[in-house]
Amino acid sequence: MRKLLREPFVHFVLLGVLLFIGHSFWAAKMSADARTIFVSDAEMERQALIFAGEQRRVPSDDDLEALLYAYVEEEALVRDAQALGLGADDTIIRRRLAQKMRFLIEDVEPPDPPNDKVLKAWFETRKAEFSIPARTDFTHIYFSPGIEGPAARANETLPKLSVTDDGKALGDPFIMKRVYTQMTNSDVARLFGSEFSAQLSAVEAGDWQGPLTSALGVHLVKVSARSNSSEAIFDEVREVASQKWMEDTRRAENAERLQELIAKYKVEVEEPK
Amino acid sequence: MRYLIGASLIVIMLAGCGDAKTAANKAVDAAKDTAQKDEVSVENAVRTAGYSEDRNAYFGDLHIHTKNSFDAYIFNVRTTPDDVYRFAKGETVKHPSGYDISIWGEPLDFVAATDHGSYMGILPAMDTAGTKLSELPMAKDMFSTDPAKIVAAFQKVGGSVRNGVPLEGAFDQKIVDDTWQNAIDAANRHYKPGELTTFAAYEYTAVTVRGGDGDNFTGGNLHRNVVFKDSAPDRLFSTLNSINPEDLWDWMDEQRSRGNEVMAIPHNSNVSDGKMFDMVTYDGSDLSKIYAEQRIANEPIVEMTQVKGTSETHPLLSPNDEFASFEIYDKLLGSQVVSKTKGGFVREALANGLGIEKKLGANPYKFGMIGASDSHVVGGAFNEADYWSKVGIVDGTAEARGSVPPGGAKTWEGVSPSVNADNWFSRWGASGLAGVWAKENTREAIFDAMARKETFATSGPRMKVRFFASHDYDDNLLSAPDLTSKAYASGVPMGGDLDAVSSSPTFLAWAMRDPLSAPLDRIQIVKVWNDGQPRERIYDVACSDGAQPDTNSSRCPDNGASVDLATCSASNGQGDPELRASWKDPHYDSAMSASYYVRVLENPSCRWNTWDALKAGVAPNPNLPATIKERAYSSPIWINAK
Repeated sequence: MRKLLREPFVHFVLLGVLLFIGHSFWAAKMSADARTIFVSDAEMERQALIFAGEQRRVPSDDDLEALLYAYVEEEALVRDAQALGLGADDTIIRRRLAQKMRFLIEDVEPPDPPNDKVLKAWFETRKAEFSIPARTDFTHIYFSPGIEGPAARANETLPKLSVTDDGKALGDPFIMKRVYTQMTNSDVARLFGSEFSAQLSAVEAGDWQGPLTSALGVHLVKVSARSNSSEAIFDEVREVASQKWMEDTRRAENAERLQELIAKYKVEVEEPK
Repeated sequence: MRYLIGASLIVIMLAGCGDAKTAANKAVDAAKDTAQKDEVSVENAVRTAGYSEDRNAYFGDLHIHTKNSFDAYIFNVRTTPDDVYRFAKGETVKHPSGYDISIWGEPLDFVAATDHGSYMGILPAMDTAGTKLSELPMAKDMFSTDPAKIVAAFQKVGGSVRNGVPLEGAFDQKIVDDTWQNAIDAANRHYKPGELTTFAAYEYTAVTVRGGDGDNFTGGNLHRNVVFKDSAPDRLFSTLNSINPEDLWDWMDEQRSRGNEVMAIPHNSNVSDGKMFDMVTYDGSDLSKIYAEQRIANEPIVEMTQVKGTSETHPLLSPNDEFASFEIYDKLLGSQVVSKTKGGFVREALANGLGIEKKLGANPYKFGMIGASDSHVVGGAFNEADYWSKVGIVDGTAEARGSVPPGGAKTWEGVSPSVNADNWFSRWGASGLAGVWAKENTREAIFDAMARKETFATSGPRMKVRFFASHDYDDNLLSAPDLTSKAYASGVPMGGDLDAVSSSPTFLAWAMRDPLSAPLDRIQIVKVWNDGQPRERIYDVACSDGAQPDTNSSRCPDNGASVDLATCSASNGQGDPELRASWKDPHYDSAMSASYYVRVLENPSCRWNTWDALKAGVAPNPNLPATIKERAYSSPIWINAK
């Protein structure tokens, strides 16, 4: 017997039996817990308060009973769903989790404003974004699609125009202006649509040209002046640049945090077959 | 001790002198300023870029809340008046639900932050550690995690806003004054004549209460935005000064006499429980000529379309208007109780105003029209395809608004509607904007245009609408290349008056589409008058695609435009970019005063709920309108019988 007790194989078997018994008890207890839906007083209180907030009245006994059933129902469904792993590949749940995590790691407050040296160095690398946009002065004559053949009428009108004409007595009335000055491409697009804006930027300064089409109809145009876009001067855009730097820095910091999080993982991508 | 008293007396006297001197200096400075301004205007030197004698259409939003509004803060809004102006300029701001928002199309031309005057800035202070307010038990409740405590604390503030009794300890005049000063400073900081006009403004949040002020209260909206032309006083007038809007007008009259030019703009008359355009005064007495004159002097325009519904008219008031059922929202504040219809809509009020004028000799409801967003997240959602509604985290998701089924479902089968979405959020919409005809984009020009009611309202798109009337327009005017300057020269624009003569004046209605939105379907003229009862009649005056209105029904034929709900793309070929009409009233009666305004309808397009569903890849909610006919409304022209 003593010899037997010293035998390593027997130790191994006994330990195994003990482990098995322990695990059985533990598992039984756990599954009993998992099969209990305990509705605490605090939980019902919470449900009642949510109800009161949404419905603007105190729940009646019937309401409370309904709330209780609804809670038990939801809890049972959620637990079974979890046991079956239904949450694992659910896009909505994944998105929600990812969104919560993103909120945790992201900073919503902008960083402190940069000092001049930092800002200037940054500005030098990003000059193009702050450049002063091209501007156009132009006059136009409008031909409304509400009247037959706007393009034909424009084509008839064009040869009658000389470079000195302002065209004010020609074409259809226009609800906005006939003469526009200092217009950026986006100003033009806002009023006439982007198709017209693109066409206008190709028109050379000088005599009447067209017809051009817009979201509003047909136009003859005369570009009287056009300034090219030019480089921004740091002192003039310091405030805007500072704002942009802060926004960019905040985004960059958030992106970095996300990268750090991803870096904790080894990413393997299967080669397409 | 004797010395001490003497010393403090001296201090007090010095302080008194100091004040007097400052005030005198201020007066002198003001006089200098005025003198300089006069000089400049004589020289005509202050013409900003884009100045036009024929007046330009400028678009703006004069109704926006920030974290300084007691309700917005609870909706998790943390953005500031500065962010209102940044958003208006086209910059991106954060929605409380976490996503970025930016304006539809190009920047706005004019804008104002209008936080609730009552408790302005108090909630942020309650939520700031170290302040006295944050130590209040109420503040602890307000920012607890317990929904019931939050609601109870919030309702305490709401109750105080409604009954006008300041909450002991929680109302701090200094914080309100400081927040208001910051709002004025932010407006001044972002004002750039010729580019962006800003106004110092706030909301006067009066509420008419039904069912007591306890938990069962339902509130009717008597809200007004108070907009200052340029200079603004150090202290605002809120419901904590008086809950009677007539007292607000007295205060505004006083402000004007001190050189602070100001107007109030009522909104959400649709949910005023019939009280916004009532036929009696606030306390139920008969209207008087003095009331009528004071009201219209202080409230020349009304915000008649915004996120919480459009207040033009209601199908019950306008049974013969087949386009009347448009963005109708009728639930009283925070309730499921339906607001009283009569007294809540502008078309009926315009007609009632004519009746009152006949009786009293003054018309309290001779107002022009604008739209605004009433966004509580510092920027309006004007685009159906990119909608974020109004109240922050409460309706910031498609699911909360009832446009996407809850819980990731793909269809609406078996889904019972959420009470909040069904009653409120699903019925709200991507509206609206204020249009203003002014010679240039400055505080003076924009404010003056609003004061003379040369304004129009849109449901979101930037349609341009002109409207003129004259006894002298000739038949060729409509096609004259210089139509605009001729129309101004011999007629009156929207907001104006004409004396009646024996035959109908000629009306000139004109509209241009927004290149970013749908083409135009038709122009209508809405006529209202009062023969003892409010009356109305609608005339289609310009139809798209070359069609003519039917002579009997005065309606355009359906132009056949449709929307593919699976893609939200519109059918091709229907509608016009521009419509223009010259019109005489076939039922003109020179003995009957009448007012006429223009309504422009676009072709149908997808409503925001259809876009939400499309983007989420789910079926659209079958209980909500799938499409919307966006529209614009001009201010009226009044033809006054002798």
